[in-house]
Amino acid sequence: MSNNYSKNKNFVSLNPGLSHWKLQRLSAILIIPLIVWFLFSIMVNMSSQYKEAIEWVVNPINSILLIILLAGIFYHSAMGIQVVFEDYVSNINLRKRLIIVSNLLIVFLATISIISVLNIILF
Amino acid sequence: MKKERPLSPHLQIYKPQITSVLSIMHRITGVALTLGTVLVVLWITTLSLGESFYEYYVFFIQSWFGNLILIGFTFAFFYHLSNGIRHLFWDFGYGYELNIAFISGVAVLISAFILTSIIWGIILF
Repeated sequence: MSNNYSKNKNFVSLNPGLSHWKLQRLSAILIIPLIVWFLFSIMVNMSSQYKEAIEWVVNPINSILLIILLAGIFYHSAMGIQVVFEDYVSNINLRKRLIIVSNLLIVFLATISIISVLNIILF
Repeated sequence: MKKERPLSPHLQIYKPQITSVLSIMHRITGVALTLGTVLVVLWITTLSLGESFYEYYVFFIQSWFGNLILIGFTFAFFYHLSNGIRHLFWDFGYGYELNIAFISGVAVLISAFILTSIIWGIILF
């Protein structure tokens, strides 16, 4: 039995499904400790005060972990939303469009949030 | 050429079970959390824009409506976290036995409720 499906035109994969599956799990494993840390930080260190929040973000360890967390969250979200569209939208064209739109929106959110962190550190 | 094939699963004739309900809840909370990231984005962007912007954000988040959204967000988060860990065990090949899958499902629900209650107990009292 051959595993080389790529040579068989009946088994054209629309996307690299296995790596998508693995990356979704890997990003989850990355996010779990970071998000627990973030939640703990909010509960322990932060109040609703502007100055305290800024001081927290400016701390290099916090800002680096926060940027990794934001990137991880949005990456994981984008993959999850893609699977939801793949499973429930049967029209292939519509499905592809929805995935592109959701990815663009998520990249937008990721970009402005990471730029905001950098803006706080640098200015 | 298009053959009408049956779609699966037949949600309308399946009796909802704890396993299937928890499974779809994982997706629903995942989508909700993705929408909820807007709260995190607003937190960091208003913080970077300056104190007056940040005060608007804090005002919104501390209103009863903001709190209500945050409570839902917290529950969705703890649910997705707990059930996500349950999924990771499956991915590594553990916990497929029917009784184990049932027990871990109940454990996920209990942990999501307890963790949400602890956090909001600390915040509100």
